Amino acid sequence: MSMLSRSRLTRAALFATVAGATVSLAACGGLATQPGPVATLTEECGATITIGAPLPLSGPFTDFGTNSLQGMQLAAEEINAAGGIASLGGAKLSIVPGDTSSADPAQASTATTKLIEDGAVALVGAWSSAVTNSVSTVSEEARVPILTQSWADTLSARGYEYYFQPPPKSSEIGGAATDYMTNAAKSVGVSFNTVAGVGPNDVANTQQITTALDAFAAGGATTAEPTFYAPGITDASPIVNRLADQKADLILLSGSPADASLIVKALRARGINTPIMGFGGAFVVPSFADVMGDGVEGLFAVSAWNWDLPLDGVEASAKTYETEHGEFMPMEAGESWVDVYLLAQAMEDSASCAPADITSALRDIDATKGPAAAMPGGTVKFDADGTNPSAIPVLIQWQDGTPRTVWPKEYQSAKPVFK
Amino acid sequence: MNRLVPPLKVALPAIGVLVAALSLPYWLIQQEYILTVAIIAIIWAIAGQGWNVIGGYGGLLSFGHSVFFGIGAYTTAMLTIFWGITPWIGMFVGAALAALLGAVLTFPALRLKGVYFTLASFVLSLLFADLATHFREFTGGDQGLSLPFTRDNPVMFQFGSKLELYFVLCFFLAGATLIVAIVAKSKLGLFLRASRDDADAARAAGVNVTRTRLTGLMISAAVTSIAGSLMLEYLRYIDPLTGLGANTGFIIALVALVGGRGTVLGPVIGAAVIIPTQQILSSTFASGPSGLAGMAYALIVIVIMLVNSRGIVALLSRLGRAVRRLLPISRARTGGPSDPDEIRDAVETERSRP
Amino acid sequence: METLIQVLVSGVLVGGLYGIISSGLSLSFGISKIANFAHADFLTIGMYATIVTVGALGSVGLLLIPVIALGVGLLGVLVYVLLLRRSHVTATNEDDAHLPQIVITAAIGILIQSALLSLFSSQDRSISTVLDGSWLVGGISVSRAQAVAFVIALVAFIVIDVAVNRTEFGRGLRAIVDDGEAAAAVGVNRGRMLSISMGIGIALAGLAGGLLATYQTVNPSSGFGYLAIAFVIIVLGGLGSIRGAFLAGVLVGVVQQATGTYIALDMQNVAIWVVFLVVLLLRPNGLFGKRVVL
Repeated sequence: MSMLSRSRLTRAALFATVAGATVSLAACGGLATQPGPVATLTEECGATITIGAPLPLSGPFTDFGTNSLQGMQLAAEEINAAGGIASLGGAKLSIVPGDTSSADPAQASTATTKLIEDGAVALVGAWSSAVTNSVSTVSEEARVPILTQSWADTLSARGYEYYFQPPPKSSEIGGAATDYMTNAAKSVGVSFNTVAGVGPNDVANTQQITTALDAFAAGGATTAEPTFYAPGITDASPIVNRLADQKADLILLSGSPADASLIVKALRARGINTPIMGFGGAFVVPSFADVMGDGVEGLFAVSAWNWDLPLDGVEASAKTYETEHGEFMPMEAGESWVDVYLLAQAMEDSASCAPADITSALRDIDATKGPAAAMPGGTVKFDADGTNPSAIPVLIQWQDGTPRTVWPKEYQSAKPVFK
Repeated sequence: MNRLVPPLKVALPAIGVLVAALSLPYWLIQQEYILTVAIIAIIWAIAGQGWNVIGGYGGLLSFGHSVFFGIGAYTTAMLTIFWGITPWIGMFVGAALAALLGAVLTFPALRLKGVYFTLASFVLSLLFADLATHFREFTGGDQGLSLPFTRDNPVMFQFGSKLELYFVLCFFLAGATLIVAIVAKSKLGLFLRASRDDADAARAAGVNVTRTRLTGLMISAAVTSIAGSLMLEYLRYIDPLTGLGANTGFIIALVALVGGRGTVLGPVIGAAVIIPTQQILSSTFASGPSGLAGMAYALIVIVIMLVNSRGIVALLSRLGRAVRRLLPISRARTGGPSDPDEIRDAVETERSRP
Repeated sequence: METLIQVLVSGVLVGGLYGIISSGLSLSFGISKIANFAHADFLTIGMYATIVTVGALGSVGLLLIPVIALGVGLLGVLVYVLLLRRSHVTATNEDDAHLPQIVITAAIGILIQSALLSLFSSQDRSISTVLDGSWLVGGISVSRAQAVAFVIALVAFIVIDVAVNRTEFGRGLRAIVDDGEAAAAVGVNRGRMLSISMGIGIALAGLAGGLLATYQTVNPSSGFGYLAIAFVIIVLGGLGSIRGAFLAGVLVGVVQQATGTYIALDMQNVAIWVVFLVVLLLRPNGLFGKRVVL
């Protein structure tokens, strides 16, 4: 108790000194002494304009983050090679990445703040719906526009002013998927009588699978309640048990590459060779084919973009991408590539690199040609909630190791195959 | 002695924390992104202070405080979203609910010792995260709950700038520090330490271990839950991973353990070291190979724990009297082994109370 | 009925792997009292080592899985000696030793995951070997890789069980579990025993990783999913009991399969967590435990 007997006065005096010292340091200047909020609006754009890429570059989503970044960089290279933003004196675009991590919203928030502070006038990110949630909150607060690759309905439901989503909402994907699958099958004389569904218990996937199943039921097929599992499964047997019991002739499936491949392999090992339609980004990344091996052949998946789409600029860029990275240009790379073109057009239209002007240009945008319109549906414009009313998904099938667009008919690059 | 500690002395660490934290944006913090790191660090420091009550003084190493953190965040979020109730009230409702759960957890806390309590709390956090994801109609599932976006609305805890939010959070941190300081100096702190060092001996000396842990857990849960509500307000949304996951439970314990468990300033110092390290490493290595930041972070934690397993505060106080004078804390006073005579004194005065 | 048998078969196959992971954890935990939060990440190391080996050598590489397990075990000994032993030596009481160990092992887990992420990226990986495919036995499908993995896990378990219960070395180990100080007094080299038991425990995790890699998709955080399950199992089996851990592993495997098949897929683990908490509170020495360990 000797510490307690020390004079109270001494302690107080010491404390006062420390406090005084810290306050006097105020003279050095800090954030609080700077005038107003950090200025991101600059009158002159200079030679380079920064687009921020808040993406998961660590953790389980790294792959998707990296692919998105590569798509953005490709677009920037192409735009710069073509002379940059003409209305801004040929200013060049520069893509700056920020690591949001895959599951830490606090880090996502910090990374986004840093990007904006370092001069990003617009953002493209963050692939995962959960990460996009916290990234777009920061951009909304900073009044900087964000174009996203995410789908979850909850994102656009927030009514953010600076949020733009070129791909369709996940609830729309489910219904369209059923329609595509039914018609694609009909075109080669196949129909489905019993449909089963299984996916991870997250919001986007439960939404998609439930709506897709409902649509099949409405079309006269027998469906059972879909089953949802907790992501990160270590064993697929219970899932396969359930699916085996349903004796379906089409299985709707969703999940991360690891989970999905475990399930597909276990289904095949059990001798269940039913056609499978996958939902979600996992089914269309190059690494899915690596994990699945031959098992990937014939799988169907719903996608928001594909490398073989007959839309402006896709063919040439997809080819460049493939030469540069040694694999086909995946969905998230394509979406991000379109996003950068959309931003370039918004800057071109507004002749400004101020976030506010880019945002209003995006609200008015009606892209119908060029890479800025290269989303399925062929047009990009935005509703009040930031979604793109013309967006539609496409149905792909893995054939000879790459995903080929099989439906809608106008985008078909290969005929669907049912074994 | 202990009962006569002057109020100012108890409040000193809290005032010190407040002044130091408030001053940071005037000299140290030059960038907004560093400010966001500071905001996050403060929130974890508050959560760590809550943990400190039962984990540091009470000796129950919990990896499950994320449950209280999440209860605070989810309660505040639901009250705001469904009934428009301001977070200024919501966070205390959340704290009350967390305290209630803390009370329930007294039962396992009495039966389980050391590592076993840690395991139970770890699994409890997994259980809550799984449940929150499963009941998605209620909790928003993995997408969590988003607060309605408003600008500059202090009544709803939404401030005009990050700087304002930061200043508000400084007061919360000071409040949490004050609570810990009061606990440390009170009979409760003494009894908690006594139950931690040797529960049977404490019982023999007349300490009501059940009531001690009950009170300790309730206070601990309530403070941590406030931190959860603050995290919700900062991010404007909460999801099961952030609110309830095992990682959150680990970080809460980590800031207190690295800083110095059972010391008034430990969690604050721990958060000040650990969180900026982690966040700044991640943004520094963003363009490098992924994983480097995580490796560096893990190595730093390992080195600190190896150099002094009682944390940075103990390390500093060992660095000699000079340093000890600068930091108004010391293990001997706040978290040291309990003195049997002191316990007997305290128990007797309590019994003799009318 | 067919489904029920399938549930039991898959449950036992999965549970055998849980059993071997948990016996390893139980061995190191029961003897050193270190709650190794990095245990499952050593399993991931075993997975990647197997993927690299099989990638280079083809199916022949599978024969090297025991060597990989040994290597992972040696790594475990190294980690114990360098990072964990210190707190055993310097601690004044039990908690003083355990708290830093828990934090250090958790940090080692992050370190391993991050290192694997740098080396192999987050991309999922898998291998195809001669063990791909399945046997159909009377309408019940048995994955070949899973069946082989189960048999090897069972053999490994029996070897360890014999070593602990029938040998001089095992007597020393059990003496430490019963009473560390008394064991030291009769000449058991406690420090060496701790290193060895830690090594064997982690080697079993490495072995399990190698076996799992033959039929699972692997990424740097694959192992983490097994951590909580392994802790649950060693508590159910009775802390420090290797046999209990193996049996509880099989039991947990079956319960998981049954919950997943008949109740709700995403409640599989919830069921396990609840059982764990209840058992921990009501029977702290485990379902099969005889002694009170707490």
